[in-house]
Amino acid sequence: MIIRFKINEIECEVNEEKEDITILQACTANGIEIPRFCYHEKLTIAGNCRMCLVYVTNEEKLLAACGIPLDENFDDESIETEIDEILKAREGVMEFLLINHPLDCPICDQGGECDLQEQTLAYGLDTGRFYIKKRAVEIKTFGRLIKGIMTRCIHCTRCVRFLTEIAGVNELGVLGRGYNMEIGTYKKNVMIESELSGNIIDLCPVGALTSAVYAYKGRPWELKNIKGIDIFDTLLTPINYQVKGGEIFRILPRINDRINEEWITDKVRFHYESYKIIEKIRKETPSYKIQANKFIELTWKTALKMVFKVLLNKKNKVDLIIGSKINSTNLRIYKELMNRLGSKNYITENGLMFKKFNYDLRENYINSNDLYNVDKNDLVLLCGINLRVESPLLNIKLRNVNFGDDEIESVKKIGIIGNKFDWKHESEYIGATLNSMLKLFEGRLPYCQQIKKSKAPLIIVGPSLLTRISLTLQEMRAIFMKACNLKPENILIITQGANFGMALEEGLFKEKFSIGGNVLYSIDSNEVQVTNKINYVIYQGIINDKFENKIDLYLPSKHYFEDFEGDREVYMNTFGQRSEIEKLSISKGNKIKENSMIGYIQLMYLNNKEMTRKEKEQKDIKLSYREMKKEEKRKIKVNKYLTINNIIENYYMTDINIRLSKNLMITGQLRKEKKIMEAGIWKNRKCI
Amino acid sequence: MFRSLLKRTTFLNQLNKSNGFNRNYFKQSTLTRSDALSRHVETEDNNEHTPFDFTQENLVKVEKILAKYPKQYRQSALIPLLDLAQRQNGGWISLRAMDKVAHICGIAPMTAYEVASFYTMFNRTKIGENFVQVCTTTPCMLRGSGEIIKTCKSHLGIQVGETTPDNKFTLVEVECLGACVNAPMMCINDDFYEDLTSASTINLLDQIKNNKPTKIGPQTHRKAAEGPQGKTTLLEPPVGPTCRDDL
Repeated sequence: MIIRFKINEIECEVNEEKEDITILQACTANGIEIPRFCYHEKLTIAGNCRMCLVYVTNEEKLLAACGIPLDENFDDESIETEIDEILKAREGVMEFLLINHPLDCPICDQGGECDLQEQTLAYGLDTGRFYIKKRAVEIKTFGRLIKGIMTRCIHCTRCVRFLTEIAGVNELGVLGRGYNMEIGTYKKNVMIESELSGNIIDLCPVGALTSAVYAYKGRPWELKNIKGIDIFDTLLTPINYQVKGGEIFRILPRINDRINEEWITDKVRFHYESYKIIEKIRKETPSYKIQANKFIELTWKTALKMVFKVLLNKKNKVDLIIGSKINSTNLRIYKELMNRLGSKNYITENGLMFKKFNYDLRENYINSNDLYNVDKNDLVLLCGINLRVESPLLNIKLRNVNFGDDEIESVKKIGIIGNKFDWKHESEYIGATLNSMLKLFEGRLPYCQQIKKSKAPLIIVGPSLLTRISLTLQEMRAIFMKACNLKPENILIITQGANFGMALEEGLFKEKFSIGGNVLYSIDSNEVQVTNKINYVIYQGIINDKFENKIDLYLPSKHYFEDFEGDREVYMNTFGQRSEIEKLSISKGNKIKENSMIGYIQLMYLNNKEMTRKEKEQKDIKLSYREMKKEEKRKIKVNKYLTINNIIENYYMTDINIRLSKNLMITGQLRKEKKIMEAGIWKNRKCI
Repeated sequence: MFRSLLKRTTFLNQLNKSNGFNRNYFKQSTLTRSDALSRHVETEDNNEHTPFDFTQENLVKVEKILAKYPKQYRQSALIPLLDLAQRQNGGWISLRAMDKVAHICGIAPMTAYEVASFYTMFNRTKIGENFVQVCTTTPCMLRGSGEIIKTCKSHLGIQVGETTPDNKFTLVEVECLGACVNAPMMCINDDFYEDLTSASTINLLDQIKNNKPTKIGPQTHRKAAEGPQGKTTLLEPPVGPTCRDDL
């Protein structure tokens, strides 16, 4: 049935069968703004702030627009949002909200982007009529990252709803009633144990929950937005760097419904602290080690000459390891450099971990499925992936999958192979070793029947498995298709590192690569184990904490967001979606150079020609169709009893930028002590 | 520091008077007792390590209560189970008891805390053996509940919200308990004592203190809620359903 109604004399139509919308959504669609506090598009409707009251003809009372669906009762009705009655009602609601709200806007971090402030200006009374005492609530601490000044709270319950519904940790709640109502954790000093806890800062319409790291640092109107991406994840979540005077003040999510909706992880939200520390402690000139812990400063000319001396020496065998944040232009430059030197020992930091990848076809490393449709699957099998740690944003997408109302049946629809972890969903545990994986391949597992039964299964293959099994995705897909009647789009592959897909695209991948040379040339890569075999280490990057004392020649280079020509650069995520980043310069040393610049100089030195991709090389990497067929038939030889352990031990220790951020570090340590990550929070709590 | 604050206060008060304002700028908020706080207060007898488990008898009751609800909706048993835990624990519910109930219902402890802090009939701090709840809502107030409260305070030697040193009594004011016909009234543990006067209140409290049997219901000659003429209607014996037998 088509419902016809009027909003402020604008005629509207809604098809009831197709659309299921509320009054508020209809008003927003027609460009009419309705003030709200508790309503949020991504959360369930609470309807407790009463700010969105509207007038509907033939209704005795004013209606809360956020919670009333448009049905046949609204046919031929007219909705008014600007009449005097509504304006008065809004004034009344504002007055009640402000009874107990402190007047500390000048010292409040939310000032300038506060919903309450803005709406008071627009809809509130200009004078206060309350001379009674205000209520005070004690300050609450939710860990090192979030500051809770709960006197400012207006009880919209957005934070409670986000944590329960989306993050899946039931740590915050509405306690007490009436005048004594508080938002809190009931017990004192409880840390919110979620990788996405920082999002409640964005959700809070007032200054009750604010970032502890950004506290008293800046004001929103003086910060400039610069586009960036989350480089700690393969999803490459779009973010905004908020910058003032060459310094990052905070990081906020950029809304993208196809990737992150409105959320970002704590890692990326709070990692910017490290850039300031890096600026203080990094070396700003090329330097050469003459003794242990003693470096002499060099000019770029001599430094590069020394590099060539090492690279061109025919006795040396050079391994080039490229960090996970380096963009595709640089990947191409350094690959070209190594090719011209006649070597093929180049790989990315993450490529080093994985056993086998076939990069002649794009579908083998870029997922063809759409992240947007992930929650439409009805069965999920996780193979060697700890979703909470390795891809928290994919985790919250999967948490929304409807597995049916039946409790016992729904548990069967989520299987886990690999390490146990608490991803806030009841699930069936299949096995920890590769043996159960092999059984699954052969179709001998009872779970295979489950997979065959379901209409849209999704098998997520994670990095923990890919580092331990030497099968290309193509082979794996072929086996899965045979065993469980799957289609290619039913398999989802999650790797590690921001540039993994791009590195394969550029052909920077080698089977069975291990560091075998005596010279290590590391470009912004910290996660490499330097063996005793290596007698010369060139580190070209920002700062190193893993093999700092082994570096012989240090070349300072810029951060990934400074490291490109022009204004913008494009990164590609594991779904083939492209995210744009803008140039942001925060490095202050004038001797620090871009990786691309250093690479170009090296190439110029070798051959004074403009860089082009060699066609010959492209032929090298392509396997013929016959070979591909052969590979499929190859038998799998693995150690059956190898357990698929998680490759990430501590979520807060994966990258140099995170290791240097004070608050993230402390959060990580606190959580490690409690051993919360693996054990979960409340399910395994012992009840005496 | 306090002195300087005091000085400032008096100075401001003078300033206000001289300006003709009659507003009190410095006001102290009323003291809130821990039972009214909406958070956990760590005490010796109520902390993370205070053990709690249902007794064998009560576990049978738990099974009975759970059986009333479909399996996937077993969180519906939360309030009856919290009540059962409170009864077992001597009239109050400890942190661990809430955790235990949440565990049985398959929900997060936070939900149990929320529910227990919402309903005033759950006590989250330790109370005395006898929980004296004096009704002070309008009908009782009109019939002299203020006097009853005063009597209780002076006779027990405690304020509202406090427990006697011998741990026998805890006194609280409550809202309407639904016995307005027989106002003023108070409820001690599960029993109603109605038509109270100062004398009968003192008598009652003494009887309870000395573990003597008490008269439940009206403390006068009145039978139940009958008027002065006695029973004039509903003369036949009541037909069911009567009160639930599972509690």
